[in-house]
Amino acid sequence: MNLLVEGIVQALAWKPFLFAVLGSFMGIIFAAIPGLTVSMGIILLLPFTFHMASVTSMSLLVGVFVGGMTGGSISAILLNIPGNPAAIVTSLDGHPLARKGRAGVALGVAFFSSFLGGLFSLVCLVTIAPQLADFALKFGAPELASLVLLGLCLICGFAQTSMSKALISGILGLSFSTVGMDPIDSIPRFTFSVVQIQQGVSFLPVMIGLFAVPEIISGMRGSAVSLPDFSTRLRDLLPSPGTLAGLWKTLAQSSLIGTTIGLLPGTGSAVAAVLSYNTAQRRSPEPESFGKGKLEGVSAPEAANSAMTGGAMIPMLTLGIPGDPVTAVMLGALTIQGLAPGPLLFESHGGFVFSIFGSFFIALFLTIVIALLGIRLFVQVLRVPPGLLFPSIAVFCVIGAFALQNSFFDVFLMIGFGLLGYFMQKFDYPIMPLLLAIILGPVFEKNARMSLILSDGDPGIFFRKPISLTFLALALVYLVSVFLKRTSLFRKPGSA
Amino acid sequence: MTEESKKIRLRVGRLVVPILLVGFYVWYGSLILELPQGPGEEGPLGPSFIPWLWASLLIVLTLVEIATGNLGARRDEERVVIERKSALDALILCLLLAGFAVLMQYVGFSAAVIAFLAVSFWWSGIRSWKIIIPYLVIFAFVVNYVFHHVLKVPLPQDWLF
Amino acid sequence: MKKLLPVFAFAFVVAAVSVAPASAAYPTKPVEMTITFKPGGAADISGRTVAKAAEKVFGQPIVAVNRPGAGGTIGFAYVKTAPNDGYKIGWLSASILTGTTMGKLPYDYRAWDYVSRLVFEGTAIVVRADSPYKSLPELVKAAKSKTLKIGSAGSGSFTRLTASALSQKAGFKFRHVPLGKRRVPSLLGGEVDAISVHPPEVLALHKAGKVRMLAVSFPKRHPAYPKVPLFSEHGWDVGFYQFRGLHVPKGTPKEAVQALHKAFSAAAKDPKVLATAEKRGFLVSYMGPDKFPAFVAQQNALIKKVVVSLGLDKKKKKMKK
Repeated sequence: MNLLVEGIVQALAWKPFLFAVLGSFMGIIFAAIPGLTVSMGIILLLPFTFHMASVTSMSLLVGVFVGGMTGGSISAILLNIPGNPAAIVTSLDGHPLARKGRAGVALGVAFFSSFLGGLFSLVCLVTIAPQLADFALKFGAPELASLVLLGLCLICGFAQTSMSKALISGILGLSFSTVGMDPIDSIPRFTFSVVQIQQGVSFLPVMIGLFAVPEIISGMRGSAVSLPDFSTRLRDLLPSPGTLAGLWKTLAQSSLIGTTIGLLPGTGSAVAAVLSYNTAQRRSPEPESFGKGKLEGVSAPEAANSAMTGGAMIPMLTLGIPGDPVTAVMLGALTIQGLAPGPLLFESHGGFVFSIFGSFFIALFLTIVIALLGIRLFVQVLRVPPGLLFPSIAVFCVIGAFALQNSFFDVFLMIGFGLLGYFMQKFDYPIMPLLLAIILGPVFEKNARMSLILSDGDPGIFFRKPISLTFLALALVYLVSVFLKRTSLFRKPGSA
Repeated sequence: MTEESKKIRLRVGRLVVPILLVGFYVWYGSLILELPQGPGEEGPLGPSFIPWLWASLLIVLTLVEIATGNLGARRDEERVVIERKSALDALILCLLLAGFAVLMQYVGFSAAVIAFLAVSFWWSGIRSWKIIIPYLVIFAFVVNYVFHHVLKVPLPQDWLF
Repeated sequence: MKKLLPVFAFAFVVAAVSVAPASAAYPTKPVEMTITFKPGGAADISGRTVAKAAEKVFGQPIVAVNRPGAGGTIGFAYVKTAPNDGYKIGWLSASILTGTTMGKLPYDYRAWDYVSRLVFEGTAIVVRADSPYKSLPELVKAAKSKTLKIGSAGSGSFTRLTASALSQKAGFKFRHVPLGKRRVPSLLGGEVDAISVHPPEVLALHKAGKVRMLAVSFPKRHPAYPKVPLFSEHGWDVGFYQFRGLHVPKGTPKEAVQALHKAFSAAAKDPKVLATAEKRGFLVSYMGPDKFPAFVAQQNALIKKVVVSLGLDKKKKKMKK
């Protein structure tokens, strides 16, 4: 505890603090501007940290990470364009709330859920990081394959008019995810002998295209519905204690899910958000009102994606294994400072580790303050005539898709999927399953095939491991329950 | 649009999309056939196994969709309406964006962004040059400055800014 | 479309004017250095450190740009097709040789001009701390009686080729597992018996006693892990090492190559570069444009031999030029 206080004090020195403010601010901005993403922000800021002191550089990067997880909800709620993959689920209920004129409440709940989720994961990080890291190592290839399969089954939960349409959307995504270098045999697939296609369909440009382009089209042609005005006074943004108390169950389970998913390499924040949204929906007494503007539907994914940040830092700091692309960059930043994250970092540089925790803590507070104050600014941006605003957003989308890997291929990918997303929406095919499948498809393929290599071709490996078996059982139970519910809907038409 | 023509269009939508999906299936399948089949070099499942899995699921689901959409439960519930104008809008915007991305590689970011925005503003109904020109210049300058000079995104450069 | 025409016409005029007149002394503007891997990785860190040091002598900024994807292929192809005016250079690694020999790139290694080699990076065989194998000979002995599972970064990765070359030299067979990014967690979680990996990824775990580096394929013992023996000390020298250096598009002017050589040879002596090398576990070993192309050719022959013996060059569909 003393160490933590010392860490916080260290992170409060003027320079780290200044950079924590800058980091949180930039995280929010990068996530809130449609087209730009947190991953992009971290990648662009990394070279700057090479010449900074270690505590300062980490406060900057942690600030961006934490700020970004919160900022993504702003554009998700107000524009229906999620600012990062973690916020795609937030838009499901957040935007309908904004349409009803309750944008202020939705934003307030999103910010506080993010804050509390982040705080939960920080507590885990400070208290039981080594134990959690050991737990994460129990997830081998078969466990990850089963977990991702469960995630893919949850796609059914995004069906709007028809189950087959949601599933077709998902399968299309899975097919696209097989483009590029085969993850096991390194054979180029579906590349038409073009070198650039070997890099495959990366999900961030796809996400930017799928979600932003349809909104840009309707925005530019004047068919966008403008949001009802809402008060941005602090008093109206802060959720009442009663509201928060009503959400505590959602918050607790989502924080737990988020932290756990963060621990597992290669799964990512979108999975955390989807799992927690789905859990909240299934446990709710009125699951059918999800997707139409329910506060639980905003709170669950936001708490989970912030909780993921702390979770992802656990294997990174204790074992030197990054949990997601953002922590992978942080690992690079630490090693360039000459600090090698690993079991000895706590012993040799204990003070430094706690200063990272300290800056995490400060970033959480800064983020919520900046977000609450900054919302006024963002609402001003919304007042810009759509004819000016949306073309400018389109420019950011192009830059955002380009800057991730400095590749024009990604820009064309973004545009192509934007067009696909637009027509899919027009034909009532939900786009969420497509994106989730593109994120999860490669993880599934890789781990499923890897498991069979490890077991010498014996598929029993998926059923012998208890964790893997649990996920498979959950997936089966879920599919059966969905099927039963759907068939009962078929019997009384009109209730869908 | 009359009720009747709307209905016809709905039926078209219900048929065209599944036909496109079947077409995609055939194409995807023919591409999978070009990959090495059978066990892979590294393990029991080769590079074509997972694509085949997705392809088979796709064709099954497409058949289900044809059945439920055209004959089954959703026959009269379908609310797909696609107007020719909005479809055209989507195509135009994507062509504009692609043109922007291509142009950028030849003339640099600032010139391309000015060209793209000028056309887009005009197209989306902002016709006052008094607004467009200052906005263009400031936007192109600020964005290029922030992303290229401060954040070091290697956007193609030109003699502007 | 009519409305667009004047805009495009204007744009092309802009393009025509913007072609700057050729000037006398290279370099007159910043040089862009393509790094073919993601920010924060080993290639990125060594590349950026060296570029920063070289700038001092070079006189113009050397801007590092990451173009990751498909095991370096995307970035190498970018440098191949970039203008050969000396303002586009690339930070290459031995992956360029694996990529070309396996047909992921439609050209062979002679498609670029090679400027200089800057660093070597080791490749280590690593086991868990509780593993029964205390040394490389023990592992090899066990591998001769039963099939061990040895992981690497991927099917055609440099770490895999090193492991395979070792197995050929020492005469054992193993089950290769292309672990990709999960190589270290997979070892710690007990899914594989050993992994072949670049030392910086496991250095912290090695020092903490969680894993054991049995031996490393490297030209000489490294101060960051002085007690780890070399492959060659056991008589199993594979002959090729992960190296990083500088290459340029084919036909880049001689003056540019010499200017780069001058700047980067100075960078190889920079105290900051040497300090980073010691901490990060790589070895600074400079080789200029007079000898480097021959070195690349020699390494390519060795790597090609392993690739062919594993049959990795056959099944791949060749990329179009």
